[in-house]
Amino acid sequence: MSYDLETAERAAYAPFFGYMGAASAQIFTVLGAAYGTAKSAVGICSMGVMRPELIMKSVIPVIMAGIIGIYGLVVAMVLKGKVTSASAGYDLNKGFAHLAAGLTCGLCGLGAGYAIGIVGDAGVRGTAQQPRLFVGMILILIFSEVLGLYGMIVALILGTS
Amino acid sequence: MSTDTKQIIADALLKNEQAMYGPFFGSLGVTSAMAFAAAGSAYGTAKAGTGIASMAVARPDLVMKAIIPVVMAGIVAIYGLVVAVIVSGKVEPAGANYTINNAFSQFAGGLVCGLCGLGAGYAIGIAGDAGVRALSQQPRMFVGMILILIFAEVLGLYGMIVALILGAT
Repeated sequence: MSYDLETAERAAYAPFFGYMGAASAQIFTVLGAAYGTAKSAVGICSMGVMRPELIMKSVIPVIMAGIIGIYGLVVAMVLKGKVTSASAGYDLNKGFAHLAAGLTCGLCGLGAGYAIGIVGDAGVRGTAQQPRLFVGMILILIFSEVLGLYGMIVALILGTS
Repeated sequence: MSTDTKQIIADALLKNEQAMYGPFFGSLGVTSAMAFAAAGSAYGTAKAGTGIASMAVARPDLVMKAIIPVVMAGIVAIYGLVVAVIVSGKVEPAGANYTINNAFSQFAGGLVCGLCGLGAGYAIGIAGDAGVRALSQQPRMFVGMILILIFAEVLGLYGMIVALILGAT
């Protein structure tokens, strides 16, 4: 039998790429969120010693880092629902699309978590000395957060088309 | 393509899906769920432990309050344990009931739980270390520290949720 593209596309291992996509969406966003949480927690703790009344206000970067993890959770759930066995019609094209979707969401989340961590650390230290920085810090944090949102949007477009 | 060839190809695909190396991926999922979660938990315990030890020299009364990050790091390992036990119960010899589709799903589930636990343990360790040092100088830091630790812990919980959905269905 000669090489047949249609048969080659329906490889038994196609779901592997789909599941790895779902996994990487969750893993990398959580690693980004963990970095963001850890880095901004150090800033909050060193600032909170002198200005304990600002601790609750300063938890915002940590919450924003947590939201990055939720982006990954949403994409991983959506992708998981799409992956089936190769015999049920899941070909390599779908597998690669889902891997790309998962990597996009995951690595955008990693970048966003990195930005939130560094901005959060510097922001809460600055807010302790200059209260007017608070609005600016929130604004920068939202711009960082949006980077993760872009990843989720592209992942959902890739994963559901 | 004739209908006969199509039938042969479809049969070959079904056979390929029951590859004998399927359980390798399932078992590796079990390992990575437990091993990476334990590694993250170990980092969290160690990092928070050094903070507690250096803080407790001056403020021994705070040791019991400051042990919380260590307990939270321990819970991350329990997430890994739960997923490892549940997934290991689902790994079977390759066959019609256990295809590579199941195996890859469990592998992905194990990796998610393990590496999310690694991330959560890392965050708990660093936040716990800084938190207990700050706690010894400022008692009002306690609530903030617990709040940050819960957010770090939740990252491991996300991993367990996705792992259970991926690995146990």
